[in-house]
Amino acid sequence: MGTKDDEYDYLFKVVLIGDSGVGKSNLLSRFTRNEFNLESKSTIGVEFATRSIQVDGKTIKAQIWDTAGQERYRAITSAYYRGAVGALLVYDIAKHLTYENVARWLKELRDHADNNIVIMLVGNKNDLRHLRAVPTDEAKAFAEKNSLSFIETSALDSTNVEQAFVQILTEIYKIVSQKNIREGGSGEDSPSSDANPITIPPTTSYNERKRPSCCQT
Amino acid sequence: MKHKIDFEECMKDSPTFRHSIESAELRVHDLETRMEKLVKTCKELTDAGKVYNNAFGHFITSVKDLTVYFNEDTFVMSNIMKFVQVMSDLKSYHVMLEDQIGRAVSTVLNNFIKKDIKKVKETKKYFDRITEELDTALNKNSQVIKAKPQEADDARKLVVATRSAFGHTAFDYSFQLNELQSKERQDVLNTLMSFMNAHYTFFHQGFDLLKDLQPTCKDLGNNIKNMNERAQAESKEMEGRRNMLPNIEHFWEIAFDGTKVPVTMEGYLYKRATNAFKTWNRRWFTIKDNQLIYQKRSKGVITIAAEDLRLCNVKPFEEIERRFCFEVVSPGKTIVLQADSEQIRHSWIQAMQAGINSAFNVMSPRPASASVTSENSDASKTDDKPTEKHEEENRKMSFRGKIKSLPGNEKCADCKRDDPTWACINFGTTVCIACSGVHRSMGVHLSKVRSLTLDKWEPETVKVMLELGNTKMNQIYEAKVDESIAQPALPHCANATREKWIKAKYEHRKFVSQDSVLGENQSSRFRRFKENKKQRSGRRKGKEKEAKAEKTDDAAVKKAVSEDSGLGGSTDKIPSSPELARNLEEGFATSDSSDAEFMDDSPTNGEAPSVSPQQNLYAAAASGVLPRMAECLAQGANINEMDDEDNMRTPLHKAVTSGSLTAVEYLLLNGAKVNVPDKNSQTVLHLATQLGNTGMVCLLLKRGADQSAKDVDGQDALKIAINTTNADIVTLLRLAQFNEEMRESELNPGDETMTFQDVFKDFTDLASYSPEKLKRNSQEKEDTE
Repeated sequence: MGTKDDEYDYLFKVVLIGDSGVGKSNLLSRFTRNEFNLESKSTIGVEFATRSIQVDGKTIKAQIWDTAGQERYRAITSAYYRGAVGALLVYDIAKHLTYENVARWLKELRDHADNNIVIMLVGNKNDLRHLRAVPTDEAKAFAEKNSLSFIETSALDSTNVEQAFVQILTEIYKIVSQKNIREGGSGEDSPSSDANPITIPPTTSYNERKRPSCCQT
Repeated sequence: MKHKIDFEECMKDSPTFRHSIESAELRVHDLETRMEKLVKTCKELTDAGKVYNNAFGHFITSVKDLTVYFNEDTFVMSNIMKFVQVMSDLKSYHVMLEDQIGRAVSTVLNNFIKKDIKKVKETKKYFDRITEELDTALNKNSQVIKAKPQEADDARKLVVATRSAFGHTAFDYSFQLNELQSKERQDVLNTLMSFMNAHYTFFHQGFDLLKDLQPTCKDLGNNIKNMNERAQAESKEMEGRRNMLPNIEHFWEIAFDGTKVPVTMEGYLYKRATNAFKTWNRRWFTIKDNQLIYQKRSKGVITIAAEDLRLCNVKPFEEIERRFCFEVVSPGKTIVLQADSEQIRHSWIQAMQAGINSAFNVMSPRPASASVTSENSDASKTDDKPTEKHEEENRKMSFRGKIKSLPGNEKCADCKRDDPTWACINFGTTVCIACSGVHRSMGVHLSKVRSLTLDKWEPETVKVMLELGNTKMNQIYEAKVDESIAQPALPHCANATREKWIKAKYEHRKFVSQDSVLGENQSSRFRRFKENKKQRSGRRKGKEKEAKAEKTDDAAVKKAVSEDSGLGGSTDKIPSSPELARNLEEGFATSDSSDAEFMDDSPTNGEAPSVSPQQNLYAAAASGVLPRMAECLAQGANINEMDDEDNMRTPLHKAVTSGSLTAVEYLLLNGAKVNVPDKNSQTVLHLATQLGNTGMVCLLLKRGADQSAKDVDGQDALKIAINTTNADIVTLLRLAQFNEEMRESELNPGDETMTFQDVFKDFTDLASYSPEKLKRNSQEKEDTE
């Protein structure tokens, strides 16, 4: 346990959702422990992991909730979404049905999560190029239409896993720190409290950041 | 008329005749053209009529369809049906009209053209031929030379014959032309007259029809006029209201009315979310029964923002850019709210502060029972959509009233002072403030004191209170009062007397009888209770058997013991509050085996002297019966002693098996250790997990159960939960574990513990107020497997 990990500037809860078998748990283990397991079992209920990253010189600790995709392994759903500020909505690029169900997951998010929750659509298993069933452009268009960020990853060969998490955490950080500036300041000079929150465009060109040394396994 | 052909001229075949024939022929031709045009336009007319009738038919259908819309308005509907009938008649008249016109004009004129004119034309052809023949004959005759008298004679005969034929033909032709002339006049006029007659009939029928409708229309007209007047009056009224619209601010500028005794207030506020975004959401807030609750505008789901306003601190919140903010600080959390204006913020703060103040005023004046009824009536008034959730809230809100309404609870359990506002939660009694002080001084291992008005109560604890109560507990703890040991405390007795009495009663348990007082005193009541229960016993038998099989060797002893005791006290609640009785029943229903203990048909003997309090405690815990457990503990049973006849299980193990959250909570409140393993190294958490009792796992985790413990197979609770694929329990265990880890490593535990608490609260509420939801969840899982 690295002692530096104990201190952080922000703690963000992020949930991983999506159909059973799209690779949520492996995305989590790849990001937090740099592990991948081809034979992983279905998640029951929920699993947790944390990892801290640096953004703008601030330490952001991500508390990631990996939820069961399979209906019968799911707990009372309200627990999943309480306090969550980000959601990675994962589908399998090689299974079209998992992409079709994205709309259902979006609805569940709308029903249970905070209105401002940052959602990223993640097409996982990008390594299965020859089996691709969901065209990138189609998913990208869908993401744009629903104002979601979009990325394609492979937990197996690590492609974009780091980027996906860093990107969503950065996005959340920008929104939250923006709010803090607005609300934390003395605020005497700008009384227009009706100003709209500033929306941050997806930072697709975000460069990969070095993993902090703390979460070694 | 003037063109009539003269027969004399005809015989002579004079130029006049020829001229008149020619002009007659021209006229026939002209007539034919005009007639054809007439027939054509008439056809067009009838075709258009058909189109019109079709459209009319569609129109009638759509009018008829209107009745579907007005199917509940019989007045409108009957009138529409009348009109539809008339319209249908009108339409059929129209069809008849088209038909008659068609026949009168087209048919007659067509006949005229096709028959009469054709005949004339044929005759003309014949006439032309015979004219030619005559000309030829005359020519021949003229060319005969004098030398051939024979030829001359022949020619003359031919001329005579031809002339005769010509004469007839010319006559025929002239006649026909004349006839046609006279016929055309008749036919044209006749046709037009039929046309007019058809219309006459049409309009006449229509007039008759509509004339019959007139009275109806007149009535309807009056009705419509009335309706119109009414509508105008209404719209005038609405207009009047609109004029009042400037006063709409009254609705928004909610003022706190300090005169109303139960503080109530409602309106929209912005609430800052507790997550990292701190999103502001507009919600409908209500202050009711000292709680602050809110809901979304669209959905009826109610969330409790502050359990008990009386425990809250409310103050303006200025360290923020937004205006009109204030914060409500309640035990465990702070919520930031924003009003629409300074005035509204002021009102809300006032209202909440009034609520806090009322906590201190409410302590004495209102009698307990009255408070219950008033709360209930309040609830029913506002309860416009009786959702399940709503019922839960009501149940929750009035728990204080319920506790106070238990028999004996209206007076202090120890000194009988009226309207006690404190409680000893491990005894399930209510006490006055003076006695509560003595209880506190004995230490929490003996007595746990809570304020009924100022403390936060967990649902499980409330249920413990509801199963016990002053009357029942005093039957145990004051079974044989010996005044030589201590004088009973009185409402205003000296502190020393009070202290001596309470310590003798609870610490030294001087007045507890070793006989089962509950059974002896209330055996008749218990029997009655048993009779009632028997009716249900039939369908429970199956379960009983299982339960019996589980408790093997000492089952018989247990039965004998519990029969004469335990539930006796609960019957006297029934007349005082039916709702309580229902609660109680639910309590038993959750504890599977409790019925089994009581349903046995063996004779009740009222005495069980050979059984130790310890064994009684095991039996009572296994059946989840609180008063009985209380008695055993008072008689000196050890709450943590393991049963060597039952795998070294503690009473807590047995209570967990009973499935009763209340029984488990009761034992925990009385010092039961939560992490004691049995012979198989099973802790209660293992057991609850194995039984798939989500609510129980939640309770045990809240009370400090250690989930790292492993049973004899090396399994911890999580492993068992995963193996049985109980998602809810897995989630709870992992969440608790995760929370623990976070707490260990974090310097700033803040929001994440909030999430933990919130989730556990969700599960607690589900387990206490709608356990079926948790059960259904696991049921489904079993089904799918």
